[in-house]
Order: sequence, then C-alpha cells, then structure tokens
Amino acid sequence: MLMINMKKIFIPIIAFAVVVSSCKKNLELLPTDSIDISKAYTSVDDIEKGLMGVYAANNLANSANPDGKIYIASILADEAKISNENRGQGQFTFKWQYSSVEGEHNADFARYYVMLDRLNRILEVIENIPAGTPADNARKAKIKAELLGLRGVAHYELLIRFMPSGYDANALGVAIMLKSDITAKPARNKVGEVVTQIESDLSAARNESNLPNAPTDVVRLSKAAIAGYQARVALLKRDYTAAISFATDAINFSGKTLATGGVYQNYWTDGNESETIWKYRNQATPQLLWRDTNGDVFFEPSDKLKNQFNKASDIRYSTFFGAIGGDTSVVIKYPGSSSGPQINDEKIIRISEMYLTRAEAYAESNQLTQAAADLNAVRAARITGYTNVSFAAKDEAVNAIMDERFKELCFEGFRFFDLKRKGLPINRNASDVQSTSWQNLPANDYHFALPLPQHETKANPNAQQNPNY
Amino acid sequence: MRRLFFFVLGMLIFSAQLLAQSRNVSGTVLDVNGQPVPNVSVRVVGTQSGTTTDTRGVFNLSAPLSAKSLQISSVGFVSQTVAIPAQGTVSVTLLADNSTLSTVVVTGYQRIKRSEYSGSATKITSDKVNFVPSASFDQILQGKAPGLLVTSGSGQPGTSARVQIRGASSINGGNAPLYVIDGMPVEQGVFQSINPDDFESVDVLRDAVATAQYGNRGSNGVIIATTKKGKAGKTAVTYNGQFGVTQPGQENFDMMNSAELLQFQEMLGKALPTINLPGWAYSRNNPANAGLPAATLAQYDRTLDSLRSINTNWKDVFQRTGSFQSHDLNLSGGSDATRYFLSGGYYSEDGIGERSDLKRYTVRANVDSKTDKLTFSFNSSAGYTRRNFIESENSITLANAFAATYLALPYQQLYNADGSYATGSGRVGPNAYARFFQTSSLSDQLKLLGSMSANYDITKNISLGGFAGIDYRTTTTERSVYPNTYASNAAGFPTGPGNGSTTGQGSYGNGNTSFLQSIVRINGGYHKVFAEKHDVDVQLISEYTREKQQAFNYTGYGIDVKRLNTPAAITPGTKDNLLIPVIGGSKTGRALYAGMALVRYTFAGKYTFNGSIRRDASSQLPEENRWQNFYAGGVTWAVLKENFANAWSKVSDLRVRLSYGTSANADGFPFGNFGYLPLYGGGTYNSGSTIIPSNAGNLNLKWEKIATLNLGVDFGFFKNRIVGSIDIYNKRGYDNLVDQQIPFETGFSDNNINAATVQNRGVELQLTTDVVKTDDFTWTVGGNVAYNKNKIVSLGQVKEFPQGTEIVRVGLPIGAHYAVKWAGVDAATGAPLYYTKDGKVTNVYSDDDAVAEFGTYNAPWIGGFNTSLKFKGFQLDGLFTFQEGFSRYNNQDFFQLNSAFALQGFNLRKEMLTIWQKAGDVTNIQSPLYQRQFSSKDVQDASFLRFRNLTLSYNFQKGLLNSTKVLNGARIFVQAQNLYTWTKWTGFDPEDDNNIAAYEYPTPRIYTLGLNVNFK
Repeated sequence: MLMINMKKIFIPIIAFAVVVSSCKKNLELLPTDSIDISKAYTSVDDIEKGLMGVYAANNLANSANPDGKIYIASILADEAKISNENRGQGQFTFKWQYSSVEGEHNADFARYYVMLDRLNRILEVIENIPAGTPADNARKAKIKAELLGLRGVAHYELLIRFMPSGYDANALGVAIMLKSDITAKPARNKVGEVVTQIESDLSAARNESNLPNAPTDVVRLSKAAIAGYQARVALLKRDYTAAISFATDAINFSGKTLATGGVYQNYWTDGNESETIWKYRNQATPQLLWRDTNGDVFFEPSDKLKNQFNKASDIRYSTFFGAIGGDTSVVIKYPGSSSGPQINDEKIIRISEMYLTRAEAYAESNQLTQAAADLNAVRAARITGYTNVSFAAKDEAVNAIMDERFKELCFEGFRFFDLKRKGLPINRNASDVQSTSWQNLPANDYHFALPLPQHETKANPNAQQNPNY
Repeated sequence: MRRLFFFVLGMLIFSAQLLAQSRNVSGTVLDVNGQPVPNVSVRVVGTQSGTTTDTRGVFNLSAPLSAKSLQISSVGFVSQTVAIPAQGTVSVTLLADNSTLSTVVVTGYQRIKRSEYSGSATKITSDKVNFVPSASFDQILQGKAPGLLVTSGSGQPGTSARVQIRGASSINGGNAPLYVIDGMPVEQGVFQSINPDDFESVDVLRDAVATAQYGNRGSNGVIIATTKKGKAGKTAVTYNGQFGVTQPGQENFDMMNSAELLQFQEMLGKALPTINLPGWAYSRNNPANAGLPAATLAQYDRTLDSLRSINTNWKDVFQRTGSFQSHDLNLSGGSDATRYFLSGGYYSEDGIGERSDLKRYTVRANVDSKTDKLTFSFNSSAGYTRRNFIESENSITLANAFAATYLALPYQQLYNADGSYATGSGRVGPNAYARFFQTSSLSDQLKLLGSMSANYDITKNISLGGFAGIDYRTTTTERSVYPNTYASNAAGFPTGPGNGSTTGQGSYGNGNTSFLQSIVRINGGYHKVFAEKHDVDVQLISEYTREKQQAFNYTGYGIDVKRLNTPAAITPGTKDNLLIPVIGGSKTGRALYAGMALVRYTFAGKYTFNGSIRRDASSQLPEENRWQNFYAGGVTWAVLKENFANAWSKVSDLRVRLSYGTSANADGFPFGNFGYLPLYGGGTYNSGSTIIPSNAGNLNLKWEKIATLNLGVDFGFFKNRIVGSIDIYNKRGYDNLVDQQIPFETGFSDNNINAATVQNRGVELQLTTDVVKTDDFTWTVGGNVAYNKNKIVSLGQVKEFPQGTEIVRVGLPIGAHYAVKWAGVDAATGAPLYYTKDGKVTNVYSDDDAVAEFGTYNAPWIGGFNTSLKFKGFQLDGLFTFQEGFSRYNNQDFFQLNSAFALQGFNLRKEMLTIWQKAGDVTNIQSPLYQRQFSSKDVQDASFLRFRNLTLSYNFQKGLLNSTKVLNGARIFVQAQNLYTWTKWTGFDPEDDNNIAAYEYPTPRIYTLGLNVNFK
C-alpha cells in the first residue's frame, strides 16, 4: 500500500524535474534585431561600415529637431532674427538666456562624444581585423587614417563650442577621449592640450599614404579636408603662418576652384561639387532649420546680414534669401536637391572658406597684398562687375575679410564661432530684435562658452562647468 | 458456540438497529431571486456526514437523530446554520456574500478558504465591476480596494490606466501589477478587448504571501479576474443593456473672450511696440498709428469691433456629447458534471473629443467539468475592438484637439464665407478641426484568451494537474492623410509641399504589433488531514512562459484621392517620384521559468501557515544572474476558534495575519528583453549601411527584489454588521534598477544598474457597515483608505540625479518635483522673482536654484467610499474616490499664463489681464519683457475627490414578474459616472497617469440607463 502511494508521489516529482531541465535551454534567447558585440567588427567591410557610422554622427544640422552647428551658429549670432511665426523655437538660444539645461545650444556635447566613442571602438580593434589582400590592407590603413582624422575633427568641434572666447592655451577645454570606456568620468583638458591632440591626430591622418589628396569621395576625408581642419585649428590658435600653409595645402590638394554664376547657384541644389572639400550627406531630412514643416518661418535672415550685400550685383543675395508663400524674407540656402525639396547635403569645408581663411591669416600677419588677392578672388566669383580692392592697413583688411566670411559662409555654421574666435562682441541691429535686452552680447561674455549639459555635470563629478552657469 | 453465535448475531442486529437510529433530511436551497443554487455544501453539524445540492437546489441526506442543525455553505454566499425541523423539508435562502471578507480567495493557482490564508487580499465582487461604463476594466477598479492606485491618463475610450499597488518600488523599472484572468497571466495595459461584464470577481493581492505564487512577476501585486462560470440547471438566459451619453467634464479656468484678448494684445503692445497682433496693430494707442488719417483710424475701429463680435466657442467645436451603449447576452447552464457559461457582448462609446470612439465585440465560452477524479476547466474569450482617435492625442501640439480648444483664437472663425475650413498659418482652431476630416487615425485590435486546466486525483491525497494557456493580441493601426488638404500640405515632403510649390500628396500607413504569451504549467498536489487536526496541503508547480512580440509598419505616399483609407491607393515609389514607402519592424521575445513549492498547514482550524519557495529564471538577465530564489511565509490565527473567545458574542470574525517574503518583477525590466547585452545596430548613411554601438549593456544586471512584511487583522462585529480589515506593511525594494546617468564621454547618456533601495510603508483600512438593517430598508456605508509613504533609501554611489522636471534623491519619494521656487513678480519692474537655493529672492533664473519642496505626483493618500441605500426593490449606490497629497506639473498653465504664447497668436487665460504693466502693479503675472520660466508656480496640488458613480436601480418584485411568464428577474437602473470632481487643480482633469499635464484627453462624464433581465 505504501509502495503504491510512493509511486504516485514520484510521478509529479519526476514530471517536475523533467520540466526544470528542459527549460534551462529554452531560456537562452539572443536578439534578432541587434548585433552581438562579438559579431560587430570582424572584417574590413565591417569596420568600413563602422567608419560610415562615425561620419553619420557628424551632422551639422540635425534638422528634424535642429540643434547642430548650422542652426546654433546662426541664431546665437547676428545672422538671424525671430519672425512673427516663431512659437518659442530657439528663443532661449537667440536671446542668450540658455542655461546648463539641455537644449539646442549644447546638444553637440553628446553628439561628438558619441562620435568619439564610435571611432575609438573601431580603433581599438582595427589592428586585429584580418586583411588578406594588399588591397584590403590599404583599405584598412585608409580607414584608420580617416578615423584618426575624425577624432581630430570631433575634438575640434567640441572645443570651439565649450571653450571660452579668444584663445588661451590654459583655459578650460574639453575632455580628450582616446578610448571607449563605459565607466569614464574624465576631467576637462586645457585648451592647449586638446589642440595638441587634435594636431597630432590630424597630422597622423595626413601622413597615411593611402589617404587621397583630393576629395574623390566628398563625403569622406581626404588630405585636402584634413589640411582644411589644420588650417581652422591654426586660425583658432592664431598661428597665422601655419594657417597660410595649411589653407594653401587644402586649396592645392583639393583641385577645386571657386564657382561662378550658374554653377554656383546649381551648387546649392547639390547639382555639382565644384566647391566641396568635404560634406555631410543628407538624403532624407529636409533642412528646415529656421522653418517649420507647415511653412511657418521661425527665423528670418537678419537685416544686418542682408544689408551687407549689394542686392543687384551679388549672386549670393538671391541665392541665399528669397520669398516663400506669404513670407518675404526666408533663408533659401538649402532649397532642396534631387533628393527632394529642402533636402541638401551639409557643406563641411568649401574652397571659399579656405580662401578666406588664408586671406585672414595673411592680413593678420600683415601681408596685405596676398590678403587682398584671396579676398578679391572670392568676391570676383560672386559679384558681377567686381573691382578689386587693396588694403592700406591690417585692421581694414581683417574687418573686410570678417564681413566677407559673414556673407559667404552665412548659415553654414561659422558666424558665432568666428566672432568667438576673434574675441569680438555680437551686435545685432535694432530692427533684428524685439528688445534691447538681446541686442548686444559684449566681447568675451560668459555666454560665448556654451554651458556643459546639466546631465554631464551631474553624472560626472570631474566635469567642471563653465563659469556663471 | 451456538450461544456465542447468536450473541454475536444479536449484537449485529442491535448495531444495525442502532445505525437505523437516523433519519432522512431533505430540503431546497434558493438564492434571493428564488433561483435554485446547485453544488451547495450541506453538512450535519457535529458529524462527518454531508452532501451537496443538485441542479434543482435539492439535497437529501441522512442525519442521526441526535443531530440538531445543518451547515449550509457555498462559494459566493453567506454560510448559514439552520435547525433540522422535526418533520418536513428544509427551505433555505442563501444571501450572496459581497462583503469584504468573502470566504474564498482566488490566488490564481488555488482557491483557498480565507480563514486559512495569511495573505493580504481584497475581493471586488461582480456587482462592483459589471455594468460600469468604462471599456478598460482597470479603470473600474479605482477606489475599490485599499492600496490600489488607479489613475487614468486619457479619457479616450478604452485606454488603460496607470495602476500601482502599495506605491512604486522601482525607480526605473515597471511598477504595474501582474494581471491574471482565469489563471492566465495577460498582457499589462491592454484590456480594451476584454469585457468586464463577464467578470465574476476581481481579487487584488498585495503582500508577499499573496503574490508568492507569482514570485518573479508578482512584486507589484497581482490583480486576478475570475470570469463567470456556468451554474448547473436549466439554461438561464440573461440580457444586460445600457444606453447613455458621454459629456465633457468641468474645467476650473476661463479663457479670454475676443474683447478681452484684443485688450490684452493692446497691453502687450505697450510693452513691445513692434508686435503685430490685431489688438495692438489697430489700436488708437499704438504710436505707429498716430499720424494716420481719421478715415483709416475709423476703419481700424470697425475692424476691432468686428473681431470683438466674433466669439467662436472652440470647446463646442472640438468637444461633444457622445452616445453610449452596451449589450450583453449570457447563457448559463449544464449538469452537475459539466457546466457552461456563454456570453456575447457589444460595447460602443463615443469619446467627448470629436471623432474618437470605441466599438467592441466580445464572445466568451467557459466550460467546467467534474467527474469523480478529474476536474477540467476551459476558459476562452475573443474580443475585437475598433477605436478612432483624435489627432495627436496627449501631446503638446496644435493638432491635439484638447490643446487647440484652448489655444485657438476666439476672434477667428471656423469656416470661410464659402463654407470651407478657414485654415492657414496661425489659424489654430480651423487647422486642428480640418484635420478630423482630412486624416484618419484608428486601431483595430483582436485579443484571444484561452486556457485549459485539468486536475486528476491519483489517490484521495495526491493529485496531478496541468494548465496551458495562450494570450494573443494583434493591433493594427491605420493612419491616413488625405492628399491636397491642409493636413497633408502641413505634413512636409513627400506628403507636403516642403518649399510650398507642390501640394501634399497624402499618405497611408499601417502599423501592426502582435503579442503572444503562452504558458505551460504542471502541478502535483498532496493534501491530507492527519489526526483530524493537522491539515497539510503541498503543491509542486513548474511553469514555463514564452512571450513573443512582433511589429511591422509601413507608410506609403501619393494617395489617389478617389480611394481614401486603403493601401490600394498608394502610388508605387520610384526614384523620380520620390514617393518611396517607409517600412519598419521588429521582433523580440523572452522566456520565464518558475519552479515552486507551496505549503499550507492548518492546525485545528486555528493556526495556518502558508509558505512558498521558488526558483525563477528570466531570459532577460545575464546568464550568471538569471536564476534567483524567492520565499515567503505567513501565519494566520483564527482568534475566535480559541476557547477564551467563546464569550465574545459581539465579535463575529477575528483573524490575525503576519507574513514576510520576497518577490520580483520580471515584467518591469526597463531595458527590454536584451537590454543587458552590449549591442550594435545597423543604420544607413550615404546610401550604405553602418554598424554602430546601439546599447551600452550591463552584464552585471540582476533581479530587482522586493521584501514585504505585512501584519493584518480581519474583523467582523455584531453578526458581521461591521466588517473590515486593517493591514500595515513595510515593503522594501532592493537592487532596484536605476537608469544611471553616465557622462556623455562614454558615448552613452545612461545605463541601467541595480543600485537603489526604495521603501514603501503604509497602512490600509477597509470597512463596511450596515448602518441600518431592517427587512425593507438597508443602509450600507463602506470604504477604504490607504496611506503609503514612499522613500528612496539609497541610490548606490550617488545621492541624486535629475530626471526631467523631477529629481531622484535619497530621502525623497519617487517622482519628486524639482523646480526653482517662484517668489512672485517684482512690482517695480515686472520681472519674475525666484528664490535661490539659500532662500534669497533673486531676479536671475538659474537651474541650479531648483529645489525639491513641491511633493510628488504619486498620491500618498488614496481611497474610495461607497454608500448604498436599499428600500424594497429600490437601491441607491454612490461611489466616491479620492487621491490626496500629490502635485503635478501643470504644463497647461505654462502655455495659458505666458504672454510669449499670445505673441505667437494663441489665446490665454483671463488671469493674464492682470499682467504687470507699470511700476507699482502688484500681480502674479510677469511683464512680457521677461522670459517665462518653468518654476514652482506651475507645480500644483492635484488632490481630488471625485463623485465617481451614482446608480439608482429598481429590482422588480418576484410577484410582478411571475405574471409575465417569461421573466425570472429584472432590474432597471440609471447611473452617472464621474459626476463631479472637487479639486484645486486648474487644468481640466487632475487625474493623470504621469507627473505632467500636457493637454491630455480629459475623463468624460457618462450618464446611462440600463436594464438587466433574467429570462425563464
């Protein structure tokens, strides 16, 4: 009797045990929609895809919810004015009322560290990636050079946003990241240290023989593009000799010339790459930036900017500004391309910037003839019936070149950083503001050093906030 | 030898005669409606002899002559003891047991007698769940069980509520309870396709013993719905129907009318002369108009006059009185061995927002079968729901009808002279309204629930059983934007104009998500009473759960205007027309395993021990931390079974419960099914694909655990005229998941870690009293109230981190508002003033001055009370619910009390007319020259008391119905849902499922007239 009972007790226990053992295996599930870390980068093709992911992070517009360089450099400076249809978009930034709270003014902090993390992860494994053929080896070397170049670019972009205005090698820069580290809590490096790192990465990239001189593929780095960034860094640190040399390299390596007339107009619809040294490919998102999808205009070009142009003879006026619907003053520098209306690639380095950079470096080093020559070259390409100018004094030349940068590079992510770099104030026209409270930002005001995001200062005990935020 | 033989024989005969000293007792058991009640247990008091009633409610048993009374008991009815009459039959009428102390607790795997249960649980009976005009049953539970927080986030018919039992335990993980229907765990928050009229009861399990069987999923409490089962006997047919209307509720603020708004625009113009708003542009006070000719000024005056005379009531435009109806037809019947319950239901509710509605069709079949050794149960339901939505529900956009209602300008008209919608830039009202007719937004949902369980008694003491169930849901959303309309033109390329040169070509898209959960469970049971005192019950359970989810969506462009709302109208995309459809989708899944032993030991009916040990695993955690043990134990003491309590005649029930145990929440992992892994994803750039890191991952993640200590007392006094229970608890969640903010230099912004300890301590009281109880008249008052103190005890390595407009800080509750403290408006300058961190007044707004002094959005005090008056056939029921001591960020205030939005062409609230204009003005509305910042001014007390339901019903008397020959019972009722809300909150609805008011769809008021009929 007892035996039978025991048997019957065992039935449930055995069944129980069978289920336990069979379930262990069934608990091992792996994702279908994502890639496991062990499979991410195993071939040269993979790291090339990884590299393209790094390029993808360098979005200067981020148009869907604009907070990239093209947007902030215009509304922070004197390029734009708030229009009647603005419902609050970008107003904190425009009025210099931003704080450490996350917004368009400091969104790039995260973006460029994401870019650095992506490229550092590949740099960490790249030596172990098998490359069977000489072609693969060359491709791998080129990818590595591009990654190093991009590391310099990312640090540069971070630096110009979060450093104070002017140039002081001992001022607070940004944290240098040379490896991917999920536990990192780095302190900020000094401006000089960051610049040294950028220079070292850029020159390492330029030394790679497999990297082409000319931008044969304009969405990827070339020696010309690296030289362009070297020129920018030199201008930032006011090393004008180096700036002249790098800008010259960029111009010469690129093989590009200044575009004129129809070619220049067509250039803005991505119809040609006549001036492109490097660009960001955008095939999907309309660059509304200063506008809304429903046609509302949030920011117009400022009167100050428009007044700089000779409206009749300067091709740029009608190319950059126009009327849309009921709005008579709209930025149309991104009118659209074959990808669709308002969908344009973002120009990262154009040949005209390099001319103006070299002109500025010449002017600053008192080589006024050469400065005038570069400036005249740009103006002659843009203005019909242009007569060359010459300069008698350094300041006159520098001011003229700054004004030309204002005009030529407007809405391309330069104006705020140019004023900041030179330690100049922002002075808006009275007609461009509703209140004098946000008309002028004095030179070297603390707002020039954008605040680190609150997230960063809370999460990283070593992150030092910029003063007054 | 012969003598001995005859002696023995004589003894035997004597014995036989002794045995014959018993008699037959028979009788009938009926319910209050005169319906026979089958399967009622009838036991002769003082003996082991007993029987059950048959389908006609008739019983027949043999009782010793010495026996004096019978104990009549059945699940769902109040037990009775009746005297055995000297002659004749017994007729017993059982009263339905709707008290809080129902005799059986459904714990999902078992039904346990409440007297032998040490867990903390509340039963909500069918009369409180059925026929409430709400399509999502979680919303119905508000105020009906202690410690159960139900807050609705949307009045869109069918939307689920946020439900929390005993406070939030996890900072970053889920805090929703587990929902179980007829033993089958079901998907959280998707109840629109389930008919609550099919529910017999809802049990709310709160403490560790109660939820132990759900160990890895039960830490946030368990809500168990049990659907109606068939009753043996002739097929009973029931019809329940309701008709009614839905209406917008009250709102505690006033927007400006046209005259006021124009006057306000003039005030703004004085401060900001360059603005271009009609109230200023046409004003004689505008210096720009000073030199204009008199005729022009007169024309301006006329323009202002005509604008003033337009007063469009946008609330009437966007909100409406909708219709409501529901119908159920139920069939119930069967034999002793097999019973069935069949039901079909139709439910239709119009939302108070234009276009929004819900229509639901449900069917159910429940079959229960019992033979000598085998019990078998089959439950199934299918529900199909179609919902139409307003545009951009619950978002701060101009397309959201509930935002547009208040932002639209009163001096604008809806239609042009030619009858078309007066859409255009800045025309908020017409733009939002036109969208209703230029777009579609709807969802179709199919939900199938089916489960089967069987239990076989191998011997008298040992049983083996199994359970298998499926919960399947598929939802397909449809989104259309019609071509060449305002809505498509505004949508952007390729559906819109982009540069204004082409008209929007329209779009059509579907999104499909499916959810499948399947469970297999086997259980072995052992039950034996040793020496008549030691009642032992052991269950061994092994359970495997597999969940799979899939999503697929597409949107196509270039819609043929003649064929709207169908994928057939999509233009195939080419490189040239750029109408490339967008396609997306995903697949994921998880698996759970649980093995457990559940033990109950009752000693002499006085002391019961409930215990459980489990071993759990989830595929959602790293392999090393995947398996986790949980345990729980509790004791119950039935005090009245003690001899010393014999004299306590006024005490009719008294039990003390003490329990402690651990559990976890596998349904609350905030990082999805594979979030613990460092992962890479694919993107596209420059027409090629990319490989980029997509998830930081954390291979040290482990289970969140919650330990609960509970002490409870159940009591009844004066023959249960007063019944209730009180519970105190300490619930401590540890290893709780925190979305740790990490430096951006890592390439990520946050990562999940097990770092926090969160404590919930509270007390819950539930009480029901029959204040007056006579044959004709009963007045019952009942209610529950719970206080929960939530506190973050530890966050690991950090002390705090901000999260939106909240801060997560040690010592504060979860959801603490974090804002700079408002100090008023400077009368001299009109500048807004704030308090710095050290309490000084400043006119400089700095985020660093934010403080956490403004409470939390999780109400610490919650409850409900009901009152019921019964007079003969009439019954009047009222239900009030309240949530007290919480505050929410009123983002609507930020919009409506903000002159910047008037500059952008929106309407504001009347209070804005007190805006600061000149030195010396004492006001709370700052000058338009200063930026309006988010501050404590916008954090408001949202406490509310809501008159949730009022029902007046009449039960037709038996005699009256008998004359109809077809009706067995009938009841008519009228009810009002969400009748009135008392609150200081100035938004339209203080109740919401989150911390911020952002033009959510408000809760409607619903009036219905209903009928319940039982056919013969």
